[in-house]
Amino acid sequence: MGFFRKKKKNDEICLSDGIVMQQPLEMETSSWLKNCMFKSLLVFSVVFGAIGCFLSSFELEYYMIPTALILFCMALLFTTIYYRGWIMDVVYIIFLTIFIFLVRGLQVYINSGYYLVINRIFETVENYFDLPGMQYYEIQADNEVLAVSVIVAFIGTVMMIVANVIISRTMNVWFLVALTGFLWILPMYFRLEADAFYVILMVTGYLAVWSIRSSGSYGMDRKHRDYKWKDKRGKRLQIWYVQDAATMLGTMGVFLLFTILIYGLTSVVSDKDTFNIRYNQNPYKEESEEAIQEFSTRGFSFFNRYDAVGGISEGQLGGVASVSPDYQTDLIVTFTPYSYEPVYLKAYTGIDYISSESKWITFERQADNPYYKKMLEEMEDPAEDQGYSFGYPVEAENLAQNVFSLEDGTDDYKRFIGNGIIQIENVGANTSYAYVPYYVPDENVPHSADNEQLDYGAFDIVNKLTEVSSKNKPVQYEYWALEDREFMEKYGDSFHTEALDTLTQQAENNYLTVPPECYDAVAQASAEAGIEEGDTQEEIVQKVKDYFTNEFLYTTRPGRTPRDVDFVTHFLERKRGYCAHFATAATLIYRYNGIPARYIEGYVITYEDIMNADLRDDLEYSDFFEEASANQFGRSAVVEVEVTDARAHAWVEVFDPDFGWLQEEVTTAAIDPEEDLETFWDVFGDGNNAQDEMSDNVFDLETLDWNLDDIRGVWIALIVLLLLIGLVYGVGTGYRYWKEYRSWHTTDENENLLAYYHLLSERLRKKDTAYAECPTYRRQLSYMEKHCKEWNWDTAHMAELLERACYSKDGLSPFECKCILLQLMDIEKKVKQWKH
Amino acid sequence: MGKRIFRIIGYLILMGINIWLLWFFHNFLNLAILTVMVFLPVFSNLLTKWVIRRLETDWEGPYESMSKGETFYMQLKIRNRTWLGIMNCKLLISVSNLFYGTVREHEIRVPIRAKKGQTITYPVTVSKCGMIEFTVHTLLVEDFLGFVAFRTKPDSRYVISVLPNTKSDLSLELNAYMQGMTEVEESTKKGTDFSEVQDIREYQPGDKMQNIHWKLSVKKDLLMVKERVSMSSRQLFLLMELHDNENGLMEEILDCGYGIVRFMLQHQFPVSLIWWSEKNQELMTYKVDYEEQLEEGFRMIYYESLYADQMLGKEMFQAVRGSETQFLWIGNRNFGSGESLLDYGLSAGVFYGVLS
Repeated sequence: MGFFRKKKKNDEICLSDGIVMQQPLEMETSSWLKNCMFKSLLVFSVVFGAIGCFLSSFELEYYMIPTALILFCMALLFTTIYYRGWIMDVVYIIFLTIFIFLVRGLQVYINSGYYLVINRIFETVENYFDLPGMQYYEIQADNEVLAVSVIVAFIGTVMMIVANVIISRTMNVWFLVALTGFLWILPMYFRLEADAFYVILMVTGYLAVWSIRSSGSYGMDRKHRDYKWKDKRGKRLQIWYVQDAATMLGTMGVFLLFTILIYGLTSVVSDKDTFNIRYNQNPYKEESEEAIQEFSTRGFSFFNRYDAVGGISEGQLGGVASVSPDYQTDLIVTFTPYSYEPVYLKAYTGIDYISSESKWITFERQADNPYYKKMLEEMEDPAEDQGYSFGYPVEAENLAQNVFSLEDGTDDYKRFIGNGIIQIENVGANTSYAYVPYYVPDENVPHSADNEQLDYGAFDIVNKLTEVSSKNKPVQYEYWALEDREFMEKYGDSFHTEALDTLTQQAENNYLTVPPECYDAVAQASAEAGIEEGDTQEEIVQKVKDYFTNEFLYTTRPGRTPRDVDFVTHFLERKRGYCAHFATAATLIYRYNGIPARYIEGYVITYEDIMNADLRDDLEYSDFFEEASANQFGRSAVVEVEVTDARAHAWVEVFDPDFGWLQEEVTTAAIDPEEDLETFWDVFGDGNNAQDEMSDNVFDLETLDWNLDDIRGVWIALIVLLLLIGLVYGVGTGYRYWKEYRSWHTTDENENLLAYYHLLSERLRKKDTAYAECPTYRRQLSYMEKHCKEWNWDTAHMAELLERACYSKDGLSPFECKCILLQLMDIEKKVKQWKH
Repeated sequence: MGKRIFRIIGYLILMGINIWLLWFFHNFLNLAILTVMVFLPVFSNLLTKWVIRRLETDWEGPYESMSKGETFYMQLKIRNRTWLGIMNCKLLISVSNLFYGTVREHEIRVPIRAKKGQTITYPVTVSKCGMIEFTVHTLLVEDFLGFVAFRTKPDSRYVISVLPNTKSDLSLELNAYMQGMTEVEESTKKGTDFSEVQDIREYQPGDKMQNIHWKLSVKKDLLMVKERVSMSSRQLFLLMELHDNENGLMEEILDCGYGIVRFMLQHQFPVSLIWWSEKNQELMTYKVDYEEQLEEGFRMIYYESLYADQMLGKEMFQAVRGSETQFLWIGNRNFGSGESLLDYGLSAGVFYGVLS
């Protein structure tokens, strides 16, 4: 109905009865271009100030003046084209095109700039949280300052676009704080201080935005008028200017001076340099730091699906797109180093590989396994029980016997083995498992830290060890260290225990299964590895290692295994993966070749860890390692190693009929050169393995992995998004209804009537477009009468009254308005019975 | 007021967030922002108060009377003597027609620039005669943060009179009447003067040159003029009924009266404007010999108030001057009696003769 209303003349404003103001009203305001320039200054001060706070806090160098000029030009461009109709659209398209080309052209600088920023954050996080082993990106650009400038220009430009929309449309300081706040809040967390220049610039911008919004004169007028007006019947005529750059600039100047003054005074009163040092950590921040620490180390991997609890995955192989350790200390290990070789702490033993679930299951959890039931009957023998799961009594006994037998005749044993004590404290690892070194005699397990032997029955040693592990108390193990296979080759024949026969039988019964799903792939890999019939166990083991070393690459971001594809098959095809991939595949290849093998997870202590460990001067060397054994470090010292979850590892145990279970390292040391190819743009993609996903999965719908667990992050995000959309829609609808309700609930009865008729007409027009062709009240009402099933009103009279309400100077009386309004309400109900 | 309260609440929330950040991070940046936020409202209020005391408003408009329908410019000047600009200055202005007693208020929000102030130019067109008054009765300035509004009452005003329009064909219709005005005609011819000198006084601006008593002026060395009284018994009395109705009758009466008087003056016929003053409760007479007097006469009328009775002026004229006095009566056509001279507009008419 709106366009049937009396149209107000735009060139006259009624000042009083018989007195009109001819337009344009003249007042002293700045030109449109000056206003745009001021707004660009405002946008620039807020965005550039916030970015500067971030950069100066992290002490990132960049070319300030050229970058500032670029950003100001961008701000000027976007404010100038705003509300310019088709010009704005065209310029945005052109800008986007140029932007894409620039992104392509300056990709190296953009990526490097991004890496530099991330590296600096990592560095800060590393220093602040005292994190070891943070990984940094390699910088490709030669000129690092230029790279930072480029990324600042790009990110700043995007922020300018958003900030311009906020400032031009709403001038809302809350939105601006939401847009830029993280840039100055993030450094505060690490107690970094931004440069005063940027702080003052930003705060001045915020204050100016607040003040301008309060004045109410900030809107952009599409027609570039100096003023707007509102003249509602019965209300006071209002005229207000659109904006004035000169006054706004003056106000901003006042704020600038005031901020400088107050900032300076505050600096003098409270010494800025020592303010952060005089710092009392509040408990909530301490609590939050753990979460922030994890977030910081995980970077932008919001949807990381790796279960990093305790560092081990408990045999879970599938559903892991990447590995992102949090570098938290899981174990504190106190021992005497005896070799350059890594020290392995075994936790989880995978017995059977379940292809459909992409996981290894433990022996104990095979409730339906007949052998398990048999074993339960045999578990009265503690040695057998421990042999299956935790300790290595058979192997340790072998080693011990051999050492004792050699002691009289040769000193060779001193070069290879030793008997020592290792103390392990679980501080953050999975408490469902014990972490046991190679090789532990049965009578030894476990000791408490004060060397008091705990009286555990062997039958329930699983539970006892778990209990010890979860108590967060140091546990000591006596162990026999085996250097390598060389020792076995030389003295293996002398190994034998009675339990070894039983163990051999068990190994051959339980550790030779290769699932049919991956059988072909394993057979092919075995052939590719060059394993031939007649090869000895040692040869097979070595060939598999060589095969992996030569043909495979290590990566922590292998990507998810596609749905319905076997984990091992996929790995053997792609030839890229991390330790769990290698250990799983190797285990199955060994089994395929008749060697009993099993999948092991635990922790590994490297030589580098030992070198970085703390010396325990308070502990005696002799208490931790056999005095007689001359280890590779000589008489070294007792060290305390903090083992982080980054040292969680998977390896293989193969069964040697002459010795028992031997640990084998099969993971290749060849790092995937694409490991560091995560780019700035990948951040906006799926997790941090966008490139990996692209290569295999993304465009292959049949192999897409739709496992719900894998994409639970996406699901959560989608649900949140849907909820947000629903919320926005609900609020929007509610607001619309409220506005409609308010439109016909004013003090002016005539206005109410016309507004209600307008709403009714709108609804009818949506129902039937033919209604829109009726130009007058009379024809509209006639149309309604014609199309409604039931019509009880005098159409002509109602039309006349509506015309009076709309066009007559006096309008209708309140009573008449009320009557017509009630009739219209009745008509609206009939709309449901509209006949087409 | 509601908006200001919301702003204060928003500001307090922002300050609260900042305090929380300061407590949480203990960062100097938050301390500085907090200090700024604490002192800024005080600073803002003091500055605004300082500025508002130094604001002055003034109207400027045309010095002469304007005609109905003619566009003229009214300038509202707000002078700011300080170096501080104000973004949110609201002026409450009322524009009224004193004759009709109509008034409407409007508010205008303008920026007040540092040192320069602001000049607002209203291009105004008036469609109803009367004394048009522009008044700035309130000047309201919000502080920089929009928390407090300071107001002053400058009460600066400007009044301008708007004169009626005349019809071009009015003269044709009056020609018949003019033929009967012989004596008056003779009295206005050159070289004849039917008036007598009643008094001699000092010259005042606006006095006719022909009335200067040259001899006496030379003697006294001071310009002296003769005050004349017309000796003619046939004065033209133009009685305007200051009665309005919803159909805009008053405008027609004024237009008609103004047109007739101007026509008479063009033909050098003096006219006496007569109207009933509701305010003074007396019949007002104003003799118009030339155009300037016509404007003054109408200005006097504009200060009168309208009455409801359609024929009050006519009745009072008869009561005061007697029923034999001839005059032109301009009023509601439906109430006219006597010889109808012309119709004017939709409702008004001019009647001639002795009223019965």
